[in-house]
Amino acid sequence: MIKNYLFRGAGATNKEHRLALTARDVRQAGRGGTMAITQDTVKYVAHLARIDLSPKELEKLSQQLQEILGFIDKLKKVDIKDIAPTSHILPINNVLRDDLPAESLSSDKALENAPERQGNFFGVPKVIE
Amino acid sequence: MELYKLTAHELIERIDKKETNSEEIIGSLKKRIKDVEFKVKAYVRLSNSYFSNLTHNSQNLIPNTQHLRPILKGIPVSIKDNICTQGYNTECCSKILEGFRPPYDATVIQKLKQAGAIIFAAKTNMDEFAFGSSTENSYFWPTHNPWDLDAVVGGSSGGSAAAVASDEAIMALGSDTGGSIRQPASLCGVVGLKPTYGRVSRYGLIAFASSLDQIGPITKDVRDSAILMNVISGYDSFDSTSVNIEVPDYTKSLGMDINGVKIGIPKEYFIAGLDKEVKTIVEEAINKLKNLGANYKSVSLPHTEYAGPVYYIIATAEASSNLARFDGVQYGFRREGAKSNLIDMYKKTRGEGFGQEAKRRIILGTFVLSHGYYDAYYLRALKVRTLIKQDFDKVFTEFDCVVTPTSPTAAFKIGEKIKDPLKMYLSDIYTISANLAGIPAISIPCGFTKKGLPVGLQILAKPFNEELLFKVAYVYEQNTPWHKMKPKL
Repeated sequence: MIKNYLFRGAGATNKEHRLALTARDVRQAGRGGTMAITQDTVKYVAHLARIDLSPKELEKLSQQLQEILGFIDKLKKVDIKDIAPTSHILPINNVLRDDLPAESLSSDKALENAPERQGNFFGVPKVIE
Repeated sequence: MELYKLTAHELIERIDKKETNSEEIIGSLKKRIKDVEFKVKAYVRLSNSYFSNLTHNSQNLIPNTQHLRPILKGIPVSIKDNICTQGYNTECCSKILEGFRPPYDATVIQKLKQAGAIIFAAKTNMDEFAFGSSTENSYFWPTHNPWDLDAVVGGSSGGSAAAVASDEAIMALGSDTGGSIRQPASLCGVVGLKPTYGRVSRYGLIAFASSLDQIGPITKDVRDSAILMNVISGYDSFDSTSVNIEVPDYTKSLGMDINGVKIGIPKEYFIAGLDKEVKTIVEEAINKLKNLGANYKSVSLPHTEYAGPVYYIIATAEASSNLARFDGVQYGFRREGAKSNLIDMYKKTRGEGFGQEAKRRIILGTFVLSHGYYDAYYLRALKVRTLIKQDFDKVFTEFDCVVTPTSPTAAFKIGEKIKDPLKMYLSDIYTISANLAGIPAISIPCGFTKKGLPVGLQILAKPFNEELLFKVAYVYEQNTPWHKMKPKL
């Protein structure tokens, strides 16, 4: 049963918008129709990506993303039954180093490029809930 | 013969014979840049102090970097703007990284310095964050093709390719995520190699798509490419995706014959969308390879048509993650909002600091990873990626290499495709599969269209078989005139 969605990892609170996503959209995406990218969808995704878009950008981007999704939708035709995903192309895993202390970047070097520095910290505007 | 016209190996020979030195070479390059750079615009941040002779500065050596013979002693190397050079601006040709001076050198830069190379502090132009196939997405300006100044240079390593083509660089480094070395090399008539994934350290390469990116050489000829690969390749403990496989001497592959080399020609690459002139030129090149001793046969890479969608899902998904760090906090551009809170700063900084293509890709990438779409898009793309890799694995059980055109067209006009993202994405169709499969691929010049625009031939081989690429590429190059031809600037 598909219920309301909160975006994964977004730290979404009740105050954040919920995506106007219905079960029907998700089923359609799975079934073969290209789902419609509404401006609301793009606005929400841009919010998650922390990117401001002007109204003109929002309109243009929604159009373009709709086209690109059409191109991407071709993938639905592929039979992927029993195929393992490849997220990493090389057969190496869990690359670790010995737990020995070594040189690292000094605080000064790390803060060299800071737009605003406060002592040994990056200065930023306050976080507001 | 002007020094700037020569290849690195020719200059090395003269340096060894004490017929010239690095000062003369740099002087010659400076003159060349003064003469033609205003037409080509391959570099960004050119100023009087743009040559940084750092061969004497060994403070940057880290314990796990092998000591190399100074085989590039005195040779200037030009660097794409997404490779970190300590103390010199590295901005990925984006507003959001303006002013960024890395506190460290990329591993490949360290290796170049140890080999005695001279690093250009001015960087070569690129599509912002490597998002593009034409260098028109640079925050600064588009680079112009030395063979036709109204045409694009390809991308995203367009500046590096153009500089090598116009003799404004002796050799250069680029990066390749979906063809960003090979396609501009093809459009500019030079040699571009994407190494096997894991062959060259990515430490210090500002990441676009971490499972696809590789740094590689862009050079005037195949020998220079082999020399540069000898320097930059190798295991790096600072890059957990680099592979601990010995680096052979790639120059030993040059001059071997290609008798009996089995070439597969994938039929899915020779279909509608491939420019007819390019097709003819590439077919002639394949025949030339046959005359030089190789055998070719038609093969199938059945999932080729899905490579585009797979790439644009995986690459944008990874990019959305990699570019999350550009938020005005630690480096680069910052724009605080009137409301003066942190989230506002993120949104305004990223809204103003990123160009259109960057925003497009980040938003698409965020979308395909989001809850509800993850399975339908991202996970599905990862599975089709497996199928694409398997296609190559199957072909390589019987064939030594695969040969294709590098690009479906020669260089298009500046402004021609930039308004249509999808059209632009289709420029990459022949190159993206190599990144998805992690295999090495080289593009070499194989002719010119009637309008005088270069055409590139792409050779692909199985993982860590760059030696075969060099073997085949060298034989073809040495039996054709293309590498000796220069644009009229």
